[in-house]
Amino acid sequence: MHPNISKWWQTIKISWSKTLTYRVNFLMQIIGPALVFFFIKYNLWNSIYAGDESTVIAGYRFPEMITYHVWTLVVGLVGISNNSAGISEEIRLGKISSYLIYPFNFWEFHTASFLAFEVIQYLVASITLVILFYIGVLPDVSALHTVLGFIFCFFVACFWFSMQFIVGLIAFWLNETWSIRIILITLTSFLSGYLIPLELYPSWLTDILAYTPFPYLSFYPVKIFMGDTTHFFSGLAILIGWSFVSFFVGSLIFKKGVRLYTAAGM
Amino acid sequence: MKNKITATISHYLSVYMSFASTSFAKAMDFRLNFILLIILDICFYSTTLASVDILYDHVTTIGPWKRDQLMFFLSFMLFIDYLHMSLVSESFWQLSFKVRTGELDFEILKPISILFSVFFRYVRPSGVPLFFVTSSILIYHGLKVELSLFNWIMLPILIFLSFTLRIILEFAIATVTFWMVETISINFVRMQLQSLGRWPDFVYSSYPKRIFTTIFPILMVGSAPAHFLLEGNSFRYIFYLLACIVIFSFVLKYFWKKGLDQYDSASS
Repeated sequence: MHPNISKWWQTIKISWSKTLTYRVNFLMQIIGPALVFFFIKYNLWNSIYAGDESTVIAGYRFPEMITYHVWTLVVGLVGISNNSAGISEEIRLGKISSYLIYPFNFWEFHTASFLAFEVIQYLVASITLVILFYIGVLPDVSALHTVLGFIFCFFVACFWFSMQFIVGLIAFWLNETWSIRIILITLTSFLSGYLIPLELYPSWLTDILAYTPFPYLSFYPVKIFMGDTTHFFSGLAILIGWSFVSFFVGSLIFKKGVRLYTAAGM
Repeated sequence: MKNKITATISHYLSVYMSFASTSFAKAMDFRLNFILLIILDICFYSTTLASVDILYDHVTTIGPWKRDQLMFFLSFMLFIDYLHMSLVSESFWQLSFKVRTGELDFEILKPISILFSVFFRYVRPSGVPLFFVTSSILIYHGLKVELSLFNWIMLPILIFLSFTLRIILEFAIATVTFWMVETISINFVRMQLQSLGRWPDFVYSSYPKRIFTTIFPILMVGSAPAHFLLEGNSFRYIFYLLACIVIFSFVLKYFWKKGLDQYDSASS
């Protein structure tokens, strides 16, 4: 076995152990907000449709609208939930000194932790999906489209992780980066179709959004889960392209930033 | 007696001015962060209002309310959020840290109310410019729903009552920190309850609505004043609001005392 594979595997196992040791934190910080947000959206749309299942809003009847939001819940859990808050904290508190010495670098460590997190999130999303299906909130599920959707979501998660990694690296210059992280999350939720389907947005806005990666973070993955695979391959290509760009930008920022690093506390 | 009350109020005001002054001094050391916090809040206000505005391009009413009424409700809630973020939000995160590390010892030793020193210690200076943003949004939407002169006079009183209820409820939740090992996570529960309260009560179905207007009345923070202002000045809403404030003040006092008894001072 390549020696690095073992390091990746050990890091993944440590990450699982860390996440599952603080189960209440995990439940309240990652799963809880997604479920509460879905609960609010369910009630809101129920109130908007006022119990009339024949009403059509931007092409969606009530069951379809709820199905859309069930899938945004899944995309939110597996695609855009990683916040990489630890990256900026490690830089700020001078903890990255060890990565400069160890034969397993900073990026490798955080990417392995991200992969571990994704495995747990896929498990949580699958359980959530089964529960929602059995209580009748999700009326119809296609196995093929669910698999395709989950594959797509993995690439969403990779791009989202690389964005979060860049935001974390800004800690080389800024004392606090959480505000930038929340700005990114707020804008992404709004512009990606996570809050409401993009079909409801004015056409001038969706025309602009077509030139950005935002719709690929929620709207298109949800559409794939719902059976529309038109953008599957083009979407994957765009996400992979953006992930490479952000990976190289992240590498450049790390190289620049590490020159400024003062190893606080050493 | 009167002199004693005046002296106490002026003492607490002077302490609060010192808290604010040190918060401002600290914020000015991190100016970019100060600007980012303003941008963050403006992003939040814009996306919240825009989402509802987009919904109303496709429907005429949500529940019994038309666009202007729900936009007024949202701008009211954003103003309460703004007060919360500017005046107390930072203190909740600090409480978790202080309980975990034992730093709460220093607060207990201070010759002022511990609730005051814990929850009003940190002021967010980015709130000063944001006051003009949030109050302009509220006034604009107040004009759109054509509030009467009486309602304009009542508006600051209702803001005060709503903000008071909101912070009492959240202080009460924060007391759970004393019984938890993972103290940070309780803040996420608090934030989810804030999200629930950002929508009017009629959005929720029967059971959640009952729970969140009686057992834990987070929906009363925005819905009671909005119903009062938009639906014919029924004073029962103000009565509900006052009753919730009084009842939950006692709940807070009880759990805070129990929590302090539970606190085992990690640093000593």
